[in-house]
Amino acid sequence: MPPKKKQGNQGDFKQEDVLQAIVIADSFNTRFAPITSNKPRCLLPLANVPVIDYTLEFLNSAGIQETFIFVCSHADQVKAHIAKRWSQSEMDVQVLVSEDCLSAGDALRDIDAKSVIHSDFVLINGDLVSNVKLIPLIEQHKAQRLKEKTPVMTMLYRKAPPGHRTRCKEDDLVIAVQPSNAQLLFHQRASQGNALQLPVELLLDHVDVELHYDLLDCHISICSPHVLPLFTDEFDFLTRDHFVKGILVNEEILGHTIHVKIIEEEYAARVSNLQMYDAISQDILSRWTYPFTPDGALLSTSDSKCSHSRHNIYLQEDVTLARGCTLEENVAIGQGTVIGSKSRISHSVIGSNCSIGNNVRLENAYILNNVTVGDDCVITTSLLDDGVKVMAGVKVHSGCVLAKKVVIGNNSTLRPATRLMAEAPTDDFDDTPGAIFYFIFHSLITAEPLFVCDLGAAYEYKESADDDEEVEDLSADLWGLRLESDEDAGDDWEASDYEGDSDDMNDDFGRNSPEATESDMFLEEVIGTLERGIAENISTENIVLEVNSLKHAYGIQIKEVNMLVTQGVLDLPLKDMEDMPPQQRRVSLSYANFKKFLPLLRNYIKNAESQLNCLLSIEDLCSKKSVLMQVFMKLIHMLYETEVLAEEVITTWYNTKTEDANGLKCRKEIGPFVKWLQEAEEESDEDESD
Amino acid sequence: MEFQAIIMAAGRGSRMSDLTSCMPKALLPVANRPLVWYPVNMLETSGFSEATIVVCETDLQSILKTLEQICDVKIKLHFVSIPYEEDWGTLDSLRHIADQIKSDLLVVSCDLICSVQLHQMADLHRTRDAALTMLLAPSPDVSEASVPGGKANRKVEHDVVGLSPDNRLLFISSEADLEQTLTFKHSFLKKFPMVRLKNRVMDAHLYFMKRSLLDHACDGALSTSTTIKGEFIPHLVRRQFRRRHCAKDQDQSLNMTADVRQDGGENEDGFSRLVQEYSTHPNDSASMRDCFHGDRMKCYAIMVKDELCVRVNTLVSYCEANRQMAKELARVGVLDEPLVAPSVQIPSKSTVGADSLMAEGSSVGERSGIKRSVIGKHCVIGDHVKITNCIIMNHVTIEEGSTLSGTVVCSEARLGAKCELKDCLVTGGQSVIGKSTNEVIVNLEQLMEVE
Repeated sequence: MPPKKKQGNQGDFKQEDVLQAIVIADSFNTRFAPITSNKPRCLLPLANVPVIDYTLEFLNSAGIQETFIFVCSHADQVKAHIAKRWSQSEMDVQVLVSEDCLSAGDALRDIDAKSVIHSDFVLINGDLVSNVKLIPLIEQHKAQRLKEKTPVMTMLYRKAPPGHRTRCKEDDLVIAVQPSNAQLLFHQRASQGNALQLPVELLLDHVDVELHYDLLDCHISICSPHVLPLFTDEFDFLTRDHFVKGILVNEEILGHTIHVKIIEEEYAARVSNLQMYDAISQDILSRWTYPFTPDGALLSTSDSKCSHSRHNIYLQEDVTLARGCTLEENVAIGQGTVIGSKSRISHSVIGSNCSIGNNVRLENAYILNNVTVGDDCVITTSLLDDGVKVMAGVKVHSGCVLAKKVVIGNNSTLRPATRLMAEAPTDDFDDTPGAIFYFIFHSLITAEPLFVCDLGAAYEYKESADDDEEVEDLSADLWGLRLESDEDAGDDWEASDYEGDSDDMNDDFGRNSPEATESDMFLEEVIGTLERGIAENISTENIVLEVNSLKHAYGIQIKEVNMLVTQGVLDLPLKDMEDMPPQQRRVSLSYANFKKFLPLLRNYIKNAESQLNCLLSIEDLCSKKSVLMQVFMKLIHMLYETEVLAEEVITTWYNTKTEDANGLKCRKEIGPFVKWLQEAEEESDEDESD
Repeated sequence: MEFQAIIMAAGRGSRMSDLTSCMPKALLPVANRPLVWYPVNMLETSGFSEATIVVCETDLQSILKTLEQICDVKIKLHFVSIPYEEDWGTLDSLRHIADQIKSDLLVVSCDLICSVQLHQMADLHRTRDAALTMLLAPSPDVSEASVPGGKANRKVEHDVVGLSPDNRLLFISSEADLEQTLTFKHSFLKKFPMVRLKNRVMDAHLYFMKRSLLDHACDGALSTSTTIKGEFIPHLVRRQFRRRHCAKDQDQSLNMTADVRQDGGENEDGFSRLVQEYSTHPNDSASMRDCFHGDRMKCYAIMVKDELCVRVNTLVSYCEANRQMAKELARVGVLDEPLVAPSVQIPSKSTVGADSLMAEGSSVGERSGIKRSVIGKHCVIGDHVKITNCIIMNHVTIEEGSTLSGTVVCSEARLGAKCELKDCLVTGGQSVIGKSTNEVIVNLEQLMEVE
């Protein structure tokens, strides 16, 4: 049945009274790839119910009367689902399709153009799970708008202190709020590795400021009708974050404010990545999202009744449990699934018509429909899409994703965080831009050369390296590996915390750490610049210009610039060298490698002092890279030959006393060369005297 | 209480030198009581039986005399005098008396007038095992107040603080010292995910401290610091976040107290060990580690809400304090004192407002009016004098027909007939005639001396 068409007769309503909501059902990213290549994220089952149903049911039971779902990719599937599931509901659900939108901003501009929104509305994503009561919040928003005129948006946050399981790095954010009227003053995603810089004007302008790092962005925004035109006016707004930033920056010009509502009792979270998928699934199974639980009347459709028993075990009809299998805790099993004997399952969701073999161990496993798992398999913290076949004895660990119809051969063990898909990429496969795929012939860790797949091939899905800046975040965010890396990151931070501890009188509230990271970042940028210089054949002058601008951007002293540029220039040939066998290394360090950057080095290394810095920097680098030590003399010789380093500087450096083991080693290494230098000098002296 | 109370009364009052040039700051009259009486009284009403009071050697006699003879203080006071010449800061004074201090201490400045219940603060200090607990108050809003000597005197120094929801003091800085941005490290935010930053806060200069902090103050690293507020407190607040292993060497002194505690435990019998094991008292090092993140040194701060809290350290706060205290003496425990001393005869045609104080021995002439003012002892006020919003100290003579408003008149001054003073400050022993607005009237000779 097609969705109800209401366009044209909206005049029948009293327009202000209709509560409207916009659901952006496209995520505009590929966090769930490769599963999302043939199925939109909003139809991904979460505890055996498609995510979009949670979202819509949330809106429906919150009292929203008219909902617009905005879809880009896989629109037909979403449409079909809405028609099937939502055509009979009280809430009027309309699907808006636009294939060519690339961001949430585009989507909102598109909706503005359709002019379907008439009053304050709720803006959410199509992957939201929540049981927040919206009506009082909308009332509050309206009341505040009447009182102050300036508010355009109320954003909902949920209290979730650091370490909370529904916090993911992607959503790590710090906000500052003025407690008296809950106005948002400052909003920043906590980018990893950087300390938060809070502008002091904030404190001078607003006497009282609450700084929150204990919040989870629910991605529920109650918007006034101005929001859409604001998106239309400003084409730079790609996401809601951009919008928030724009409003905050231009507060004085535009006179708009954003307000914040912090909820503590109710539940709201977005299935924004695999980690959140895991966390939210567990929350649903342990009933934090009540009344939206698998056994609840709100979610279950007439053809699948679900029972709830002790330890949060949810079973649909016709589930066959063999004798001796244990369902430990937080398990949901779909219709028609068979579980073999002696299998142990905990914290997992299994879809309908699956067959789980004997003696299988499932923990934090999310198995969709029609999946076959062979005997003696172990599957932990992984997601298996429809129709996956896992043969006997397979081990699938931490963060693997197996897309539709992947088949894994007997006794294979998958590396953590492997993502496999069964189909080769097609030409019009534009949902996952730049993905790289390759063939796997044998199991990856076990020695025996078994086929992963005996029916065809599995392709490993990898995010392409040059995709965009998100890649870095993503690798840190890999499901299952996250916790460890998070700990490490924390340690790193603290290690740099109090380095200069003896004189902490001068150490003003953690001012000492940014310096270290800035020079690191500078170095990274320099190396990046040089790499690009080679790749794109950029002229030296331009590289120098770029390095100089970097110097200003990071506020690096000239002395340090000299040292870091030296390191940067050496870095590239060193990287190549590390891959080579030792005997080739000495040969490879040739004039040719350096030729490109010699002018650059000359530009910075001019006077005696900078030369000394350059030498010290090389010495320092030697201690970190043993490869460099092997070619140390040759390197210095070359720098001497090319007149970067003067003789006097080398001898001065050689004669400076050092206690450091590395320094001594360097000097020993260079000994013959210095001797040669001195002899040469004597000769030339003799020449002159002649 | 187990705390040893120390009153810092050696301040020079350098922020209001016009007032303090003729009288020690501690003895400036506020609602006809010397300033130092207020902290002494606060300690007395909170149950302290003795206190140490640090005064400047030049002021020792006058303060001693005032407190013991005139104010009838029951608390036992130990006077410690510090040399005038060397210009010691509060931390210097504290170091000076360090060996006389045997227990945890309460340090309070002589210029604090406050009605906060000390035992509440002490409780917080004890339960949290705090190294430092301090009192904060919202900065007084003086933008509208009239100040003698013009607007220049109206500047107030603000502090900016960061507090966690459980009142941990995470950050303190004076507003003037702030740079462009405040930096918060990630590890800090992780430990303290909610920080309330408050601007326009005043440090009330009331500190509960652990004894061990004194050893720390005598330590080499802090030897150049002189003041408690300016240097010691910010140092302690930063020190909270020092990582344990690198803090080891310098924390010897702090370790010592912890060791003593543990040694004590070992000698006890099995039963008390069990008690310690099951106790959640924070002295038990293991049990509270998580909630205090293993921090050894913890600073707390209490924000004054409804209680009275005024610091008299500038001319404007001095005026405000007088105005406020004339109405609210009851809040610091003075209940039964009449506003106008019984000995004062007020002629029937003159009025003294219910918001004014008059001390004994003063007299008012015919048809005079006094409103919102404080009149000291033995003042002579002539006929037809109008006094509004003024502070008149002792032994002042105001001759007939004068009109004063918003003015401070120091002791033994003499205002001639038909003076008109608005927002002025008349220093001690001056004779004034004529009209003045927004002026500080100083004896030139005296000025030369000061310079």
